[in-house]
Amino acid sequence: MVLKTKMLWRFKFVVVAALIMVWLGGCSGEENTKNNQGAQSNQSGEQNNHGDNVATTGEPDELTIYAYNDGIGLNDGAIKYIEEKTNTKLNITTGIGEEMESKLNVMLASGDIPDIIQYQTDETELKYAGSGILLPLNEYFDKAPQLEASRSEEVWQAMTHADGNIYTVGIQTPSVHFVTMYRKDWLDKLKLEVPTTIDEYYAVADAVSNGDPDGNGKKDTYAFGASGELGRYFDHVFGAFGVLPDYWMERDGRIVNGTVQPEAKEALLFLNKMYENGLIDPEFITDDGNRNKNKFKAGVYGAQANFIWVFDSNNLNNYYTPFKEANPNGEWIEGPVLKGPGTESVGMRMLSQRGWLKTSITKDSKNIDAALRLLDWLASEEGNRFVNYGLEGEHYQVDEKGIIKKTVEVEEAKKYGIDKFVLAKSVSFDTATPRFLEVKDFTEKNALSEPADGILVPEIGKFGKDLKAYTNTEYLKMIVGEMDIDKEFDKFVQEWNDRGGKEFTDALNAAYQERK
Amino acid sequence: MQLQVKMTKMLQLLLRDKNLYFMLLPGLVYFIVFRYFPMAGLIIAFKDYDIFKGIQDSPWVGLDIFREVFSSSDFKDILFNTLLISFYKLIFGFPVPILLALLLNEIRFRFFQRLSQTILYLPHFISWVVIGGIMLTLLSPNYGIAGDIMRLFGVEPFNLLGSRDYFRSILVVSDIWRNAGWGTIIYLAALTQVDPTLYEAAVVDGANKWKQTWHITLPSIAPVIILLLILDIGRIMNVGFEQILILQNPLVRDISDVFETYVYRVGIQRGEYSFTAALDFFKSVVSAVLIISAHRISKRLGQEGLL
Repeated sequence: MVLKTKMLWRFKFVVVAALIMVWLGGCSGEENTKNNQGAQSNQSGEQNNHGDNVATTGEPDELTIYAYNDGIGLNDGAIKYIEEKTNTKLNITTGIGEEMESKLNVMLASGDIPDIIQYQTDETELKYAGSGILLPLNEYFDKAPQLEASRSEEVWQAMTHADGNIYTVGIQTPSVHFVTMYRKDWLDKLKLEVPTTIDEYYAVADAVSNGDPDGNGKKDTYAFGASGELGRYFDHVFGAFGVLPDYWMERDGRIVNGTVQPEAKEALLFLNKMYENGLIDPEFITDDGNRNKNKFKAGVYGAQANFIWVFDSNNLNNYYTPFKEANPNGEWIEGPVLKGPGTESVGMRMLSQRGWLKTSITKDSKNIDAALRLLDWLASEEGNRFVNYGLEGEHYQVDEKGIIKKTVEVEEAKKYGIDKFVLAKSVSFDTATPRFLEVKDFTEKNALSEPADGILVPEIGKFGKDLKAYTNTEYLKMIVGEMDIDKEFDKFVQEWNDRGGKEFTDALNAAYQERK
Repeated sequence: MQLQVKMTKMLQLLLRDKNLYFMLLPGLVYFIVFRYFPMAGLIIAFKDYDIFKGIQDSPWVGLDIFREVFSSSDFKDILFNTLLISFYKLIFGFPVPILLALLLNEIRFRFFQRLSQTILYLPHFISWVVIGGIMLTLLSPNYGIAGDIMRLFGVEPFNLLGSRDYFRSILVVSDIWRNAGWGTIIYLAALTQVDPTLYEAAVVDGANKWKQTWHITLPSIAPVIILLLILDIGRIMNVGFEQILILQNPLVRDISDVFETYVYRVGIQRGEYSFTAALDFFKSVVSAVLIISAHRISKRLGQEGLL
């Protein structure tokens, strides 16, 4: 009996010890969040202080900015230079990727509203504009003439909301940045021509995947890979069949989504065949953008749709140089839009004129004038060139043809802060080589424009992301053969419509007819 | 009168152990401030919360949002995935630390015991981000060891992480690999408390190792096992956010999305705060029910409870 009590006591000790351990574990986890919260509230406290400062003439105006984080350092030479030029003092908080908008939401919800904010999606823009926190820029264009001049009438048209106001400056990229491309050196080795029809493409894809074009005796090359998200990497195949998935197109005067067109089914069957025969990198499902990019640079792919940057030997994004280093004999050649079976083929998708990143001034900002001054300078020719390339003589030189040659290494340019602070940047091809411009024109000429671009309906926010995610998963299932395309494609279309696709399409069409 | 006696008694006790109560204070404050206070935020599950209006001014919508949650097409999937993955983790993951602890306990060579124990629990300190990167490389059909093994057995290499048939198994196995060693610590602590005289007596009675384990070791650590089982059952709705978020890819999203990943994606990233607050509220209620029932059952079985 005594023994038993003693034992029980010991077990109690163990239980308590275990509880303490669990508690300590939980505690250390909590501590992290606590610290984070502390740091955040400190930060916001600081910002509030700055916001309360009333700027006096001559003194730099303080601006709080929530910006896209491309590695902005507050002590970057570039930031200092911009502050000097615009007589401002910038307090910048940053976010990146999917976290960007959630962080901004939290900041806004806690009442801590920066003077200038950046975000990425139309959904968010609609939400903020609807809540009335954004400044209608069109009413202030007289104070920022260079900003107005930096974008075409057409672009401003696409930025205009249903209430007739423009709330955002879109940060654009080239309108098309993908092109169908082939490894010229592999084609030569395998004695193949650049394909023009989808059947020829299959033969080429098969040869570059299974014909050991790199001559190392291993099956380690593929026609193409992707980064889990469906989008652009498959456009050359879908385009041959006449549709682009997750893209609005006009059919008989009506806007329809390429995702649910019957031609998409044919394209999926084709892709499934490619996948089954080992022509698509099986890691395309698990690869992220970076891994895909690295494989591209390493020379794994041979017949793909991918970024046009690889044709630009002056490129800052650095596709060309690493690719050449890994594949000294490697050379890419662009290919035409592939002809499909009977239907009309379409080219690459165009990026929205509204830009991939958006900048707004908030309505209740105490420094609207300073914010406009900053954006105006950044959008000016001088400002834009500075943001893109730095200072002439110090970071770049202009050669006799007017092409900008960078004179500093990529790392050094980054250290100074070049091409990071993209508040009002417009795309510029001053460094591009003639070969790059040739390819760019080639793909732009063939690209399929999106009739719904710039039409903002609330359904975008309601259904957009959900439908995209749903399509992505179901399409991947069909490509890898987890779903019988012949049997289940129609069911997929039905479900897509039920999940709001139909409502979305109808709303877009109504707005489209109205705009016409 | 009686009450007064009671009060004085209590006050006396309080005064007597004032140092202990004082030490308890930070813990209490912590739980109230960081655990109970934020619960007030749950009211957004009953409101159509708009970040610009604030919690106060957002309109009440009653149970509308719960209705929306329960009728949404994702809800069934998430609930099913959560329960299934948790169940797998419990069935396959729970016994592993016990087995490991028993095995480690039998090692007589101290240095080797310590060494293997350390090696076993080290993975616990590697973050899922790193493990995710390692797994992506190991399981790669083109460059990874998984591809090599498949080729060795004449199987056409395929992407394990991008396979709907294997994804959940990978979740379970990687979770066991990471956490089983850590779980042995508590059992080892319990094992050191077993009275050695019991074994001596058993040896005298002619019990072999297996019988000793079955009749002495396991019953001795049973309270700890039950306690940890209760804790695990209480956590059944928390499958492991980081792990799934990191290993997930679009192909397996619908079979691996659990409450936490869904709440993160839809609630935090898309800003549907009310919807996901309602979803999480439901999850917490289920968790509470589970933990209380597990506690009741263990009491009925004559074991020490938790509360």
